[in-house]
Amino acid sequence: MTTSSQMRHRRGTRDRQAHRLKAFIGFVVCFAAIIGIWQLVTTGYDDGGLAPTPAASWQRLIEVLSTALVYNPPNDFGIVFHLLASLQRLAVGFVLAAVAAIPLGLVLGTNRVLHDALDPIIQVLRPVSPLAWLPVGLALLRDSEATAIFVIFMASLWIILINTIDGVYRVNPLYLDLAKTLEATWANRTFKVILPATLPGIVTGLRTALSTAWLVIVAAEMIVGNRGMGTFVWNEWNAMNINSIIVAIVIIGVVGLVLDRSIALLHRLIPTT
Amino acid sequence: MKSPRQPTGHQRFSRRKLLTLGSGASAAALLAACSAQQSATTPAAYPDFQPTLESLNNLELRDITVGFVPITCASPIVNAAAMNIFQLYGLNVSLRRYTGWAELWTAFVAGELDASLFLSPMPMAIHHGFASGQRNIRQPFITNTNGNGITVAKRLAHKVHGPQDFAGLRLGLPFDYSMHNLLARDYLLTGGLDPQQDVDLRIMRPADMVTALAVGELDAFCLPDQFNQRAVAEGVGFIHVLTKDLWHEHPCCSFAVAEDFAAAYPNTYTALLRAIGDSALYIDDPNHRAQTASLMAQSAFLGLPEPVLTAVLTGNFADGTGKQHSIPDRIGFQPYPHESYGVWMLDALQRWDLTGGQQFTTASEYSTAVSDVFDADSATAVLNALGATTTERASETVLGATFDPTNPAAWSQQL
Repeated sequence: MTTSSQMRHRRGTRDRQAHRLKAFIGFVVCFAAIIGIWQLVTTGYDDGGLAPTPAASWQRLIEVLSTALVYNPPNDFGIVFHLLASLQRLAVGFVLAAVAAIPLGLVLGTNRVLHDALDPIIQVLRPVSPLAWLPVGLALLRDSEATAIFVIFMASLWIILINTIDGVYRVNPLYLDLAKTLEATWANRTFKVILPATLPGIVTGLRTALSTAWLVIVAAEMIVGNRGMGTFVWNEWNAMNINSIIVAIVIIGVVGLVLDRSIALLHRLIPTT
Repeated sequence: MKSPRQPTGHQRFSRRKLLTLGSGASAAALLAACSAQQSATTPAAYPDFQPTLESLNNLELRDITVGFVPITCASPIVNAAAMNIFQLYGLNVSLRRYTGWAELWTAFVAGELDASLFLSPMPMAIHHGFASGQRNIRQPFITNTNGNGITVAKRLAHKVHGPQDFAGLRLGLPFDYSMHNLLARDYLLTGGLDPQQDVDLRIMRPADMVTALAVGELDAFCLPDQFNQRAVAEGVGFIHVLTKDLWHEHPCCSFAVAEDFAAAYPNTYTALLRAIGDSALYIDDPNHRAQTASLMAQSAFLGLPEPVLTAVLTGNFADGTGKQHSIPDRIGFQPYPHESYGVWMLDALQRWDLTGGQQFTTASEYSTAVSDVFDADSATAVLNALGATTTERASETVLGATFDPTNPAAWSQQL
């Protein structure tokens, strides 16, 4: 019994290792192909580096990373400080949105009348590009930092809200019936039954919202703010350093991936039902 | 279905009566409005423009797209389109509007544009490859001299009196390769400030900066005069200094074409220079400024409030502190590309580390780098025929110090 299960386990590990190896080789091949196509496309141009080549972008990446920790306000910041500024805005706007959207979602999910009353408003505001809020935010808040956070807030709010409501609807009615039979109090019903059962929906909402917010912050910072990844892209473009834009794309992408993976870890913390 | 509420005979009568009355009263106004609109949409309604030079009949190419950014600096080009001057010289020019200089730079280097308005330092940077994107270029004209200023937010009126007062402020600039950037930095130097360390310099879209000033997002900006005047009109800022008082008759924007374009279509190139040169000198005449302002204010061209444009072009303006000024040379349109302009810009670009690591030291290195780009010969041929000045200047007075183009490095040490 034990030996056969050990063998099965070992075979599983071997399969998994083979799979990983294949995937890694596939990755290397695809990556090389992308670089090759990039090189082919850009060598066709004789434009003094307007279209960035892989080599020039690599060189610029090294430059940007070697000055990553420069802190020389108000005009000279290394990439690390741009990144930190963006992440900080992201965190504040995102947490504010979560704090507002999760309780509201729980209320709307459990109260049909309130839900149907607010639904038209939510459905109208939801598809609006968060960037459209930027001029409004600037006019109302009169502060670029607050406006950037407001845009992140608007980008995250609807996604978290709708996923939370959806999560409540997916709660197994058996639990609710049971809670009713046991005459659970409102607080017990909400915090001990509905909230835990809704967590998967909430985490999905948080995860989608975070990647959307990261997408938006870079665009918002191109218009407001003096530090951040968006400001970096905007300034480098206006200095006509196109190589830097590639560097920024890589960094923004990698950070986005890390953010997504770290919030995905939350899924593992949720007890499966 | 019958409408539940039919108007009674009396109501119907009174409504018709009202309509008749209304139409009678507004007929005159309506007619006037119609005719005004008609003259606005047909620029040919200014029959007084007679081309000074002959139009060439051997043009290699008649249809050309010219790029521009909607600012007062573009006036000679925009006016040439608005008054049909291009057509009088046998050209069919369509203007393409850009909202930012980086887009325009990219479009030009990518070959989407062959002729365009540029900020004066841009052609040298593009030709010599100071940044991403190189294309050989010829810069025959400076489209305008002066015509810019530094505007400061109204809330700082009691605080900002001179360059030394900009410490810690956020100053908006339109582009790295702009006279605004170069002149503003040297202006700050004269106040004993280090522009990199002591002032928060922000590159923004010019169109966003008046709003940014209004909401306290910027403390000041250095921009073409329409934005300075707009900030005054909106009551959000005051004009701290006109760049004319930093460097009298300094270059601002320019007209340039791709080298391959000029080489392939020499007659078309000449015709473009004749049309733009003729247009520039026409609007340089103070008697034509008000008319030009109303023509170019239309949305097809600059799309600006007419009083703002009139205040910029006529030089009769309020500065936002309650004072009224009359400065006819607030903006000028003498197109000759003086070599002294180019040498000063090159020296400034080098001092602010904007030459991509290229070094210019001897006077002849400077002179060659400038004359590679400035097409003084083509400009001279056209401008002499138009009776405009084409004499090179032995020196310039910039920020109160004498700039000698044969010894550029000496100037910045005087500051």
